Amino acid sequence: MQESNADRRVRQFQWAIKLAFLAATLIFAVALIKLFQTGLNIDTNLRSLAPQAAQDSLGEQLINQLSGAASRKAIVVLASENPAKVSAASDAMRTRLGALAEEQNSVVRVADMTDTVEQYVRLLEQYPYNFLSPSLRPLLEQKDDAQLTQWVVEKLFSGTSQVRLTGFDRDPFGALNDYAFFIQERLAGDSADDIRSVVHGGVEQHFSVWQFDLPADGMAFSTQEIWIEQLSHIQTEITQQFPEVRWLQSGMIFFAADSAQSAQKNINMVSNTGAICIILLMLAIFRGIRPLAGSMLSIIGGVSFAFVISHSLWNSLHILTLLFGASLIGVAVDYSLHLYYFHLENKSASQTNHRSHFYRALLLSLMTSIVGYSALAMSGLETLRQVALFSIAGLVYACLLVLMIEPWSTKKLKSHDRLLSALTHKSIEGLRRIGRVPLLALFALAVWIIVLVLNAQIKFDDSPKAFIKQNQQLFENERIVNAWISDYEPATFVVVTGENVQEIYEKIAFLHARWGDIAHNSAKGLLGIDALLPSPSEQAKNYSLNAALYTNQQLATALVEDYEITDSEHLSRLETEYRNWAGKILTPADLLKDLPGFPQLWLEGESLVTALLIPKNTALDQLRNITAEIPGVELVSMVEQTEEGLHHLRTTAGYYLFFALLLITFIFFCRHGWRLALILSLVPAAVLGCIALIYLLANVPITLFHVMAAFLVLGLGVDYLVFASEMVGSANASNEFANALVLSAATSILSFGVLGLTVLPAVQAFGMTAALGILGNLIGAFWLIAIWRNIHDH
Amino acid sequence: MKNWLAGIWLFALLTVQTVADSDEKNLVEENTVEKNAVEAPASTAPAVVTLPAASKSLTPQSCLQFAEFRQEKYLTGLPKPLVTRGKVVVDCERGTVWSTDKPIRETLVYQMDGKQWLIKSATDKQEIKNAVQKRVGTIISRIMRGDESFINKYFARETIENTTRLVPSQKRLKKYIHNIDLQPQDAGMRVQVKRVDEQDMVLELSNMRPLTQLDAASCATLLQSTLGCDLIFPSPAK
Repeated sequence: MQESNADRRVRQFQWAIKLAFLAATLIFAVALIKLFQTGLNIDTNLRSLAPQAAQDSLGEQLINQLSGAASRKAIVVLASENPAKVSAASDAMRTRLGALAEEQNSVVRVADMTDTVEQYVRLLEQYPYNFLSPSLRPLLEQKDDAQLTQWVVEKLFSGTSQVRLTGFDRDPFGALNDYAFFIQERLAGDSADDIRSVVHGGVEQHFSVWQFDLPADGMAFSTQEIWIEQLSHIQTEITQQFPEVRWLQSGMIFFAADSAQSAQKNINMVSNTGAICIILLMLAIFRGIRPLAGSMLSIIGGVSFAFVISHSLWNSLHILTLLFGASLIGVAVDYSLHLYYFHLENKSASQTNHRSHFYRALLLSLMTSIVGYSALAMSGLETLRQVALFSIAGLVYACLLVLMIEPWSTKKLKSHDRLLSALTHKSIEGLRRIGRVPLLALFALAVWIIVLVLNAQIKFDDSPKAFIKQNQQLFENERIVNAWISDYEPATFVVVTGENVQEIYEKIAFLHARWGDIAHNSAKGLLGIDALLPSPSEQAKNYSLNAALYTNQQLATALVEDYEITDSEHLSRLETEYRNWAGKILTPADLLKDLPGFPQLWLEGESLVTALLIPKNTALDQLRNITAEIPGVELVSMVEQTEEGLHHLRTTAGYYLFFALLLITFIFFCRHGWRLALILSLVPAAVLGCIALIYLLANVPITLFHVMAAFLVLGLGVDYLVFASEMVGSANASNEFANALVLSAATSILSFGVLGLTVLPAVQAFGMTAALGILGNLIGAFWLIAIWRNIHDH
Repeated sequence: MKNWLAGIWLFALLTVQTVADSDEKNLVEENTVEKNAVEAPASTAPAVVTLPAASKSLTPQSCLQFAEFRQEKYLTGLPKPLVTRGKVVVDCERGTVWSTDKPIRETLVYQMDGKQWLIKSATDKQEIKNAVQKRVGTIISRIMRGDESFINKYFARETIENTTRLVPSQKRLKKYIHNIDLQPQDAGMRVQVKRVDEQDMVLELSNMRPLTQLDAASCATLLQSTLGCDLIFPSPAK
């Protein structure tokens, strides 16, 4: 018997599926091996979304390391109206922390600059003439031998000089020692030994401050969890023992832990409920394990394939890709549902023609989804390109898997959906009253006219704050601690670039001068490299000024004869060494290379870049105005950069959403001609317009997550439309396949729609948009079916 | 899920920054504590000063004390110690005035509220703020005035013959101090601070005597200098 064209096409298609699956699986295996070799790397930096953030990679690197260091700082304040209680609580805290430090798995460490200062002093000793404290410098400039002698003697014998940081042999005049104390004071943080006081709300509050350094991997969840757990134990003990003492805490880790905890609880609860409902629904309809397992296998396979392929291409995956990519489940599950209903509907019929029809629908559905996601790849943004590839790869593999396991998953397939069929039938029949193309067009047009008219009133929110649930208690704590103790902004810096070290120092000096005029009342100024190390020219000048000490005969006489502290041989040796000094300069790069404990404020590449730390509660607008006046000086706010990045991403994604709709329309045009293509495109357009209108009326600000969810809505919508037009909308088609659409919508809503019930704004935005879109798409698909039926009946 | 939460973490990280933008800048109304004028010292019954020796208590039996001192300071790289002499008055309720006469003239004041001052002349008074210098000053002054709670908090006691040895009990202090030995002498006491960096200090207190009362005038008479006394014993007008 000669093979019909339809049979041949189906056979060729099935071969193509097998070959494609084999090739994809081979690629999957290779990429998986690569992943095992390179290890997993998840990029959580939202700033990488900002296209301008990567312009100056050196400055970017510097800011990242500084903000990373700031994020690994935490502060605890013990406060009470009663100073004795604070003192007692502090003692208990000290004891408890001391005991904890002895434990092997302890990660809670009190910040301690002692070793770093010690290292710094040893480094300074290699440059004995380059450093002068601000108090000694004017004396040396005056070159008054008697006054200098008095200064040296007083410093030696003073009761405040019980301890010297530099050795007498190398620094008998104490000039370097004086500088070392000066720099030590600058570097020493707030000490927990001091009980300090402020007036807060009209009441005098006494408090002690505890600063902690998180471990280097403090960003990792496991370390974070252990750190929080260990500190929480101490908190419980202290607050139980001293109920009058308030425990205030400040630091990113507390927000992170709070967010992670609430997110984990909430999302787990919601998503688990959704997953259970899906399983129950699938079991209720198909009454078998195979269909359920088949669907799950295609989803897991699709997402895993997408994950591994994307990771191997980028060597990391952005957190946004993961979040958005996970939504593939909603689309991927549709393929198996459509397949099951195709089997149920065509059990007794000659299958070849129908199968050809089904494959075409499936291919069209996949193609439109690919085209939709490809639009994202054209945005030019790496993150969106990654999202696009992830989605496309996932859908293709899920679709191939569905077809590959078809014989197994559809074996003895039965459905128990009489109720669903009745509901579907009634819905379609009900919609036939308005089942006319002009009405659909009018509706879509009306929606978009209203949206465009009210466009100005649509609210947008690109702040990272819009994505998290804010714990008011933590924010209040943060405010109080910021007000009580002086610290630096963790994510805002002044960045200074230049061609050489001296140029940068001059820019910093100019900035200090300008800022000092405005912020003269500020207790704490901008902290830059100049606070840790004098400029090259200043170091050279300090060397010259030291002559007043090393060549001072009166001083030598006083030390040798009057006080008999040293001998003339020692002093003349030092004078010779001073005269023969080669003028070596300590550079910022050399300083920071040897002192990893210092704030890493300096980086060198093709140019030089440094950052200045900004005290909290600084008037940033004023500072920004001043930095704008100085070339090569810029105020960089990570929050603002992130906000700009999110704004850019949201607007770009919005444009590409429209572009994706155009591309999909073009595919419909190629398949069905322009008239049908326009009609099909009306549904997703109307659905997206309705969602925008709902948010407008509900006064909900639109965020990036709303827009990203809109891509899912479009993908699902097109999927429904393809199957509605190919499988249900044709002449003599039954409503059976519409059940697949309802079931698909139900599973999608249970997967993502329920996320709209979470308390986390980002997840809520995604879930709510997805739920509205899925519902809209379903209604739209039924409306189209009603229109086809009316057209066929007439 | 954990990876997803990393995103939330980052949002949190960035959000902390925005707190600083809030306009709650009036939260701190002032940053200093206004202490009320210290009341007149209670007249303490004169007593024979029994120095700690092997006794359990380090607290002198009189709250008000005067002594002359000779201090040796050993510095790294200095072949012989630097020697200073002077006088000291201690009021266990108000603070300590440490007046050096030779070879330089200066006064150190350790107030009860923790503030420490270096006074070189009537017009040259500086608050000591350096953490290391303050810490050393605190230890010396607290031991001088027999601050039991301080000593118990930071030190463990050992008794070796007639010497009471204070050994730091906390890791942080152990980094700097080996031990402090307190040894009674005729009408005085020898205090030796052995430091980890070998910058030791030996303090010999002599002519130590309890006082029945102490005010600005008597303080100035005892120290032969008015410097510092007014900080511990402010005149009623102040």
